[in-house]
Amino acid sequence: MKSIFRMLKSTRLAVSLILILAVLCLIGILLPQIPAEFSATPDGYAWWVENIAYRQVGDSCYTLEALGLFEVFRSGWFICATVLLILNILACIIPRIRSIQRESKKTGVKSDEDFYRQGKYVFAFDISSAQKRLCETAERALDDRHYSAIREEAPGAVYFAGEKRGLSKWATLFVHLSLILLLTGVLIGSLSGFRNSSFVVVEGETKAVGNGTGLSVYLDSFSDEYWEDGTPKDYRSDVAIYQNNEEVKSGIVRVNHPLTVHGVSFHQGSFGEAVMLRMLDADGNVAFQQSIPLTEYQTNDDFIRPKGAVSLPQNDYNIVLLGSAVNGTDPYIGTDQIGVEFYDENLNFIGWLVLDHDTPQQLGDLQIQYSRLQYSGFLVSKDPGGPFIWTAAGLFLLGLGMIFYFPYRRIWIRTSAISEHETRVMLRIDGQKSLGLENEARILLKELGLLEEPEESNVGH
Amino acid sequence: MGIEADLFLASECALLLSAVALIAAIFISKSKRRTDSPKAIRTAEQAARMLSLLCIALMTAFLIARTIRTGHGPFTSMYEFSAAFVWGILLMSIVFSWRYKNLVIHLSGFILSGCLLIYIGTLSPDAAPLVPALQNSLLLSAHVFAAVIAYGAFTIGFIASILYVIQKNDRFHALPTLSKLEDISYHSVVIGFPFMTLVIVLGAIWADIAWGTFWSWDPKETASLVTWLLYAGYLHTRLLKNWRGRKSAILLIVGFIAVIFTFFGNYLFGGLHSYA
Ligand code: HEM
Repeated sequence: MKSIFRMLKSTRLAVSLILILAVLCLIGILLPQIPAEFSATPDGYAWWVENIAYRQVGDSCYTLEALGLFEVFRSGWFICATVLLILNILACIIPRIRSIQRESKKTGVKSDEDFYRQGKYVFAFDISSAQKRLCETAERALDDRHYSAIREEAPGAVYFAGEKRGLSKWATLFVHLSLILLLTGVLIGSLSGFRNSSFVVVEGETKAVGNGTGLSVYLDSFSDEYWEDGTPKDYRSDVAIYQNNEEVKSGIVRVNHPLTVHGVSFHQGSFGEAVMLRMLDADGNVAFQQSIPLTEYQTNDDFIRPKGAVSLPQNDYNIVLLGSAVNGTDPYIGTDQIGVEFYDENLNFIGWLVLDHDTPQQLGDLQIQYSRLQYSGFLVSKDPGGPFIWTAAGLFLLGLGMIFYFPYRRIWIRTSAISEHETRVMLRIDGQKSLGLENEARILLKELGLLEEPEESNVGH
Repeated sequence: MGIEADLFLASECALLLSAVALIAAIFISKSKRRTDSPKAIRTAEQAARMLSLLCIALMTAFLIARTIRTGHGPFTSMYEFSAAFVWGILLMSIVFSWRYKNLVIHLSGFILSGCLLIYIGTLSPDAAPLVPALQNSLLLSAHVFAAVIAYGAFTIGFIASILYVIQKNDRFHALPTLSKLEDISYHSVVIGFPFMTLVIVLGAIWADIAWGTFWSWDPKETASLVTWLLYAGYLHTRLLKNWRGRKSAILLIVGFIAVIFTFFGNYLFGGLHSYA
């Protein structure tokens, strides 16, 4: 037990873990990583490995897959290293709490000359000034430099010990605890949050978010704007969000301007063409009416066409809708047309036709027609870990600022009278950070009126 | 476009002149025949410093002119980001050389900036309009500005580490002493590490707003994490294992390679950052 703890505490483990995580990240950059939509199902996963991964890395793809390296950031390696890092940080940091607490009490106010000589920044002078006057100057200087100092006296000597920015003693603790808070936030998010990166709603349609939110989204309209050179300028979805059939929020969702309702955020993601397909029977009654987003693509004869599918349960038909090709002039389906392919329940091809926009066409005793719409794809997510993560990030930055720019400082001054007009002064200054320490010492010495002294003897290094 | 191109050219000239003046000043102050008067040394140093200030002023003016023309901070294309990076290296070179009274660091920083300027010359200066994800000027500017400061500082750490490896036993009179190089390296991380952290945090906030997820293991994101971990490794080995000198220098050189990798990451791997 003890040896496990000793290992967990070791810096070697810390450095190794940091390096291991760095290497895993590198693997994650260099190897193709399986996108979420494929990893969601075993079939998709297998297809991706056999096709995409195989094409890129050849036969080794099966070994790499067995090692989980196509999903590095969710692999056992990564999770193990992270968990070990958390334990490692805890094991390093918790035992330090006591020693930090004791830090300012460790060395007393009345210390002998040896204590001074052990410091890194130590200065000793014999100066021609009365001890009493020097002590007054010292008190003022410490006060000016914001040290909270105590004064003690012994026969022949007066001692000062001071510290400042006591809170910064705790900064490394903040920094590491905030890392743990951060990882906790990530854990909470992945356990109790959800994320749907392709929540598609067609104009005029209302769709339930699910995931236990009780929310649904109505898309009133979607519009896309472009700069003169054709690069996208703005995508905006005009939506209303309902909970139990009651509108709770409405507004525009744009990139960089999400809408949030009860902790569920709606971000603008993708968009595209949608089709409202309607069939009327011989009596003019609506036999079928549905809006279908063309969210997928079909490649055929070198043409890439937007594609959507729907099944008609009554007739055991499956219908595939195709938009005009996006990579060239389509000889079959014009920009104001849509292709409709019919398949039977076993997905055998039956036939197809091309519809003109808003123009009914007779198909047996059905009249079929379509109108054009847009769909908008949202990234819907709920991340209860968020507040933890942002708090952690803030604490981390605050801690770093304190460690590096407002470090904890301690100071000791000892004055002893050599004669009535001559005093020996020793000054030691310590801090967790040596940067700027010498400068601080210099300023103090100047305030004490000591810097100009010619017989300076620097005991330190 | 005219004034921008002029300012760019002027910055390049000023950089070249500064470099020449720096070489001259270093040569005069370190020459074995110390016949030159201290006054000559001071004058040469001052001339070099003045020219460097002129150079960074011109570069600043160039970036401002571009900001005014394009209507957004110079942070949205490789061209703009590289120019901002040059500015960061110039700034840090000047700050560190002033703080540590050393012209070699200054000169090395300027030479690296010069290389980057030559690279920028090969890029198209056209400003593309902003795609929706980039239309968040406050976060975008803060994110990239922090990166410019962090990378600028890390560049100085890299230079000091390379010089450290070359210096070995203080054998070159013209270079800073080993202990000074050590201090400079550490100081560069003291500036660079918090700013790198800020880059990552601001990037995460922005990603959360634009894409609804604060982290998506995009290559550039991951590369910045690796960089950050390497510098965290440097701080820990230094503090807890008392690593100093050569070992630390090599770690900082590796860290800087990661910085370069992060900087050009989108070129190499695509990903969500591929617009930059
Ligand atoms: C990615 C993870 C980590 C980060 C970002 C991090 C960050 C930091 C920072 C910024 C410092 C201050 C450095 C300085 O004062 O120069 C520090 C100090 C320290 N770290 Fe870490 N740390 C991490 C992981 C760890 C681990 C795993 C351990 C356990 C071995 C550890 C133990 C320490 C200790 C003991 C100190 C010195 C504390 C002191 O001076 O009082 N850290 N860390």
